[in-house]
Amino acid sequence: MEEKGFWERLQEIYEAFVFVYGFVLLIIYGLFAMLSSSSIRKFLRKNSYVDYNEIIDSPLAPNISVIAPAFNEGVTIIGNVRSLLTLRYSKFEVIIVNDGSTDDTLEKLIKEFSLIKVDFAYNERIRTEPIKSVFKSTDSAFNNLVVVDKENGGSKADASNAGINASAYPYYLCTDVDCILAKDTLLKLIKPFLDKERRVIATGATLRIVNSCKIDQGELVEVIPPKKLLPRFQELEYVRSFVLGRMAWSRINGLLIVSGGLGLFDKEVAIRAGGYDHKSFAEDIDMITRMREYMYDNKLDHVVEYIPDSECWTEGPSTLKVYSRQRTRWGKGLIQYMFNHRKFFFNPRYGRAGLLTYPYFFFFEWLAPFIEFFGILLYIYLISTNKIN
Amino acid sequence: MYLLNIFETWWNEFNNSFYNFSPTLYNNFASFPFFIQLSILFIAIAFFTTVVTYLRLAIRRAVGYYKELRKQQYTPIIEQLISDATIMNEELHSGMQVEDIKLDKHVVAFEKELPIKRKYIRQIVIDDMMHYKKIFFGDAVLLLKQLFIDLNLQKDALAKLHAFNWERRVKGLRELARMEVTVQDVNILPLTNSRNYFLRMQARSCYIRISKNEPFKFFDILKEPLTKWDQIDLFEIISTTPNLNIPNFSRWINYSANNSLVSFCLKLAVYFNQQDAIPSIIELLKTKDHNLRAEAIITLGQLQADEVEDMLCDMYNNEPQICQVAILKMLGLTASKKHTDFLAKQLQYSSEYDIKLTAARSLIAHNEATKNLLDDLMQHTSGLTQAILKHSLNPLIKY
Repeated sequence: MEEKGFWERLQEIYEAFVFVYGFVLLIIYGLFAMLSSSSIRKFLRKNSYVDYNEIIDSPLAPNISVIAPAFNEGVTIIGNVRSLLTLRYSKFEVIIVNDGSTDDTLEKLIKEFSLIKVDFAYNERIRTEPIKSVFKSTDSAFNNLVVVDKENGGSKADASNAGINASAYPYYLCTDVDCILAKDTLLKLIKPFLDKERRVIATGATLRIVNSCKIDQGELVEVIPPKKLLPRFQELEYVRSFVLGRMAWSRINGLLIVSGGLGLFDKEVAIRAGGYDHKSFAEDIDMITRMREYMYDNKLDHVVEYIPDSECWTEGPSTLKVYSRQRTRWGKGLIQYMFNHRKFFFNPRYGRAGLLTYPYFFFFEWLAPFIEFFGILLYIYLISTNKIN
Repeated sequence: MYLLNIFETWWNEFNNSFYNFSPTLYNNFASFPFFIQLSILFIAIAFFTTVVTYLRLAIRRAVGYYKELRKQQYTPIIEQLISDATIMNEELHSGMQVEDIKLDKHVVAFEKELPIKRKYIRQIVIDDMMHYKKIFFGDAVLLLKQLFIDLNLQKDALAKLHAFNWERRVKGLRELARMEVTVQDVNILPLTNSRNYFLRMQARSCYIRISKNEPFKFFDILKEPLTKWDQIDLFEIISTTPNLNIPNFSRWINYSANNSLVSFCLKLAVYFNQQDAIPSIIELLKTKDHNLRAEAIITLGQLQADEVEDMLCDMYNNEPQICQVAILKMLGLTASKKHTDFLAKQLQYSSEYDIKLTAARSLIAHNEATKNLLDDLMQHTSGLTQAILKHSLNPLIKY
């Protein structure tokens, strides 16, 4: 029998590796499906009798700050802020952080909501770019609106941190000002904080694509699936990611990401973890990882929860140019994240997040593009050498 | 190695079974390389699972659709019968007292118009009654409850409490609570400490609403902590259930080892303005739990217990920040004017933002009594202290 050469042997090993890799990934997806299904059933059973109005009526319900950074959002800002102000909850404030907009965002806000500058004692618990002024409305209808005007920090993270510093309440909802939230978002997201015996440090919910939906004055009138191909693919990707992946990770308390578009956080833990990293390209996953790191390092029991309800609608890229920019940012963010939090890698100190979630991200999110790229190269090589049977 | 051995044994057994099932098919299968064999097996499992899942979904939807159809068939009749017996009751409209009205002929009408002995019909009637209980008021509610009992529907609800499935038990509890049917403690009390969270929570809510004796008796045997949601839910029931026999909550504030229950009782003591509870709350200041101690301090403020202010000011320097903030807040709640200098001192000399802000707000809560002091502080302070004063004095900034 002819002895196999080095390259042939290497090719065999690589093929076996790719087979095992794909096989393991499929098994993981199978497990995700089971865990996610169990998580969703548990959620539905648990909440089938819940009357969310009890939270609205109760004096025991915690207060929430809604933080929405805005940069050059002049076209849509008024409708979006009005939409945030009409969320259903008993006691909440809406903090709009104007992150040094160069358009008329601030002027529009001042005019529409009768804002005036106030002497606000800004407590800089997290370092941010300087605050220029803080505005409050003289119209009592908008007395829960705070507008923070600051120097541009070059990132959403810096603006979010300024919002956290200006917030008065123990929980904050982080969103984008152009995201459209369901009216019951605060009620649904605060519920996991209330019904767990363990300390919940963050809750997330499903995001959807708004592109073809009917909107009126910042309000979602009708949900319609995206008509264009790219946003439609992204909608599918969101369903896979949110309903399958995150629900499954949440089931085993291994979740390491809550979307930047929508997440409710324990403010104290977020501040102690140092707030959002303004240098990060993926500040959402980075934030949760640092919050978890803080909790694990201090041996504090905690959970990160996810709910399977669609609570937030966001614009998906509809052109290849924007799509490519988004993917490049996500890719850069993932590489940066994997490097910054490398101490999580198979580290039992960080529980399931260290033993399962982080390694999963490493092998099946970070490594996947490389494997796919080598797969294409190998495929071309096999075709060109007539080795495909 | 161990896992590999298990896999090898399983793989051999699978091959043998496959061969016994169909030798021809197996020979085809065995001619493929190992990786392809494994892939085929995996594809077959995935395909089978998908088919089973879709079938299950389809069956569930079909059953749901059938039940809905059945419900639609009977609902108009049930609605009419309930309406005749309650809001359209002729005797009620003729001025008869609701206690004197007999519903026998309406029960007969139910038996005549509906196959009421059938379980699923009884369940539709119960569901409809629960819906009407929410929207009816006045005498109609009493008649609805009477009809529920006369139709013996409470037996169906009670039977659910002994079901194996916890969801059925929760359903039974909800039905009894909604219809306010009084039941023996022994039926519900054990469930208030169930290991199942949902069952336990529902049993507690239900117990307060419908217990024959002491509605708060389960507080004595509470083992599991009350979550914030439990507290919101119970608070809503306690504050909205009419004619509830409210006990003195100091009983649990003093003796319960369950901190979440003590915390809840503090809130209830404030809500029902139980001045009698003040000595027990003062006793609670000795607890080692900082959060609970802070809560007790604020409760004393809410109950206007200004007699403890001196003691709290003496404690102040040895307390953690959460309790210091609570003491300052308490002084603002009572606004007794006795410790304005103490508050001013904390505002001026503390380096902590939260302490300064709470001290400022408590001074402002004294209204006219501290006007001159605040003017003076405004003139003679600078930096963060003055910024916090301006912040707190601005009527547009609420928090």
